[in-house]
Amino acid sequence: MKRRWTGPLLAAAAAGAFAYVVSRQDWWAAALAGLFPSLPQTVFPTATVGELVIQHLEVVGISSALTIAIGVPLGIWVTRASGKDFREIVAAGVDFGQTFPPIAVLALMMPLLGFGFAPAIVALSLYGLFPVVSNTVAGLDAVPASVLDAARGMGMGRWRMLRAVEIPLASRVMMGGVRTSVIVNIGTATVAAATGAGGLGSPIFSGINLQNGAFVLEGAVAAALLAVIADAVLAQVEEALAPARA
Amino acid sequence: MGSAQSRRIDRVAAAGALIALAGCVWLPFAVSRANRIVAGVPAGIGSAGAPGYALALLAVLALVAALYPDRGRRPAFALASAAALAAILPWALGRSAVTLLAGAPAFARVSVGGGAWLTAAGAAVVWFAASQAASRRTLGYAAAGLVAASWALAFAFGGLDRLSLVMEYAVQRDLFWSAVGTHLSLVGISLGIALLIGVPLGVAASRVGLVRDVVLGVVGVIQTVPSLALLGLLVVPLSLLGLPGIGPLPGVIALTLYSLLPIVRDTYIGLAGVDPAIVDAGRGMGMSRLQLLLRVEAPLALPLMIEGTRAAAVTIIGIAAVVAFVGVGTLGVLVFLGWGQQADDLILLGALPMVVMAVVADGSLRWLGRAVVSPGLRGDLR
Repeated sequence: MKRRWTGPLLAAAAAGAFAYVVSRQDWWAAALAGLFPSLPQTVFPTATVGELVIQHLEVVGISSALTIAIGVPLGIWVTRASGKDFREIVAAGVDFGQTFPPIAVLALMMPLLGFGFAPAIVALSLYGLFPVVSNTVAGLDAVPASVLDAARGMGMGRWRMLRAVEIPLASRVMMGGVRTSVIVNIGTATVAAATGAGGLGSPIFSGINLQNGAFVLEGAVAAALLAVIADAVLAQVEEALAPARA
Repeated sequence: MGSAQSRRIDRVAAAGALIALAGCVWLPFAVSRANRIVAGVPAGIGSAGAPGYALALLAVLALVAALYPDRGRRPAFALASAAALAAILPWALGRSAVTLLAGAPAFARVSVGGGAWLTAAGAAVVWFAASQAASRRTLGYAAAGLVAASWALAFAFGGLDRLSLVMEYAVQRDLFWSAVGTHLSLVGISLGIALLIGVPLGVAASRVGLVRDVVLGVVGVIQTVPSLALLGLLVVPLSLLGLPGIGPLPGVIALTLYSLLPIVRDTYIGLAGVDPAIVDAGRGMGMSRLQLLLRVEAPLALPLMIEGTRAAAVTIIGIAAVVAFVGVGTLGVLVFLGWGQQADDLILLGALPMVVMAVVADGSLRWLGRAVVSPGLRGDLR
């Protein structure tokens, strides 16, 4: 099967360019000083843009890793014989959870767990679970029964069937869930800065409090670019996982 | 086969009963504070007296029901214990508040602890499992009515007014209702504008390939941008136009932009999915293009358009909270005030109505989406 290389190359180039631009604090300083000549201070003083992006990716990375580590096995388990009983309740819970506003999940975690980095991680990974679990189940369900029969006929055991047949065929849909989850996490993590989680929300909040448009713009531009580029990169991963067709 | 299977233990109900039991014995049932801000002192189920012990006993009963071999009465038994758990919970909370506040100064307060939340969650799981297994639904409705009545009575007589959340509401009543009103009107206005823009865009996308690619691409990118960042990005262009970058205007713009993706996408998918044979038949009847759109295609696409509106509504009910940061008094104001003061119950007072709004919008628009499916098609599906 022929693979197209333009998409992956463009996404990689965009990610590289973003990393470089973010590392050039002098560019940000010059651009913001030019846009807001009347403000005494135009760059968020506490951390550089690069440091903020890394903080943000830390929060999103840890919570997404937790989400995947819990959500994928949970989704697989409810499609197996041993977890079949729990399938309906998990599906109902996931449906219900997805109607929750992410801010509400974040807000409701605070009274239970307190403020700061760790509660934000718990809230983000919990909210991220819903698309991951529902797409894992949907992906595994979509594997045709005839393919499973053929695998069984070849003498594959249950474990090998899962690893060699079901997961590869479901991986694209599963990755779609991970992508949704990560992008929502990036957005919610911005708001989580208000609870002391750090990241690109901090200059936005600080700018709103100090009526400093430059801080707001600094955080907003970086957060928007981060989300759009992360989405583009994950879309390419999703594409690459599409099962090859003869 | 059915009897062999139903004689096994009900693992879901058993898990729910264990969750409820853990809530009763493991996590603090209530948390008391000498005033609104200081760290809380956890209190166990004992502080709730007889209703508290009844909760623990009912959780054990639900567990027995789930593990006991089913001879046909298990679902009713499990449902009854779940309903009793849910019905007694407010009385236990009220009693706990009264006990913990006895002799305490007026500004002392009692919050709902993690254990009470866990007990409620466990009861919900048992309820779900039992109603899945039950053959008739009437029992479930009767149980739900009983639980609702018990909560109403507990609010009137059960000491629930001593709970911190209720006290917080009493203090913030005006702010609360104005926030609910602002939240709903902001969401309603934005959704209305998004429908006025999004539906024609969806129609155009279903007619012209280039429009489809550009419009779906652009609204897709907007959807990825974090809501707080989008609000920040609106500040500069709005102020360049001499418009306020803070206040309802950027709020409505942001919510409208976020509503566009689901509305445009589902309008497009709905129209593109109409069976060409049906359109042909309409054309054969001599319909004009406008008549075809309004009388054939739009009615068939309507369920999906409502699905898009539902997705948009659920999304922006959450994002409307973030808009509070740019100076609009939505429910987010209560959440962020609570974050600032580390006042847990103020946070809850803002977050709970948002959850209720999202769940109600979700349920009612799902219902509407099913109700408008053309009767002919519904016959098809059955």
